[in-house]
Amino acid sequence: MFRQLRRARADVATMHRLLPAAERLAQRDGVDVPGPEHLVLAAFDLDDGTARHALADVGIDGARLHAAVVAQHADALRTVGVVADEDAIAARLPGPPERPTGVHRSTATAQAVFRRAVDVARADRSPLRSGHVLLAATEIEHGTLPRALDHLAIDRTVLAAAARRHLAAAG
Amino acid sequence: VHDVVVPDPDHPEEALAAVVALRRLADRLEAASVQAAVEQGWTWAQIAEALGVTKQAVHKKHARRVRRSDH
Repeated sequence: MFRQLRRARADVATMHRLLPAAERLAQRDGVDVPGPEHLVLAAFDLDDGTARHALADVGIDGARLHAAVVAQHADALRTVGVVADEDAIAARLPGPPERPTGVHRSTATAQAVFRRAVDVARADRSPLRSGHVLLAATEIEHGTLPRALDHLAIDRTVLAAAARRHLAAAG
Repeated sequence: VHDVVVPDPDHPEEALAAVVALRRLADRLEAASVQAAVEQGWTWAQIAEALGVTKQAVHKKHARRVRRSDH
């Protein structure tokens, strides 16, 4: 019982690091609420390192993943004939808020990813780790994140296997 | 200037990705434009009116982020 309580407290602490970080990353992009891609980018910086190591196994760091997200949005805009000067817009964006709201907002898909990550961690009898977030995110088949991974020619099943390996090693 | 192309109905994955990208572009343009308006002395009521939303909505969404110029 005490172990469960300790795990629950650790999970809340992880949530309070991950979700505000995802919101900051989204707002740095000028986007109001974070999606799964922002959750995964935020997971890079969590101390446990399981997501970072799994992504490194397939040759990806945070900058490359972010660049792929931006590139796939540009590709998608081009399909409808729109070309945006993203750098000019970025230069005019306000910065993210200095303090998070305390209310964690995210897209419905990001919420589903987070809930799935918590469920997977619970099934593993493990504290929630960044690798669980990455693993849950690899299950998404449509939308920005899988398209960005496709852009990088990353097989989601290979990335999921890397996440599981690093989670198993973390114990 | 580019003509907006109607997405190919045979490729919903591409069409939906374009919608997401357009929403993101609109979010980014809104954030940048609100910042510019505030720097030029627009009130929240004026910005809300221009965007067609309530003053409360625009304030809640943007007030914590925009930088106010000192002049």
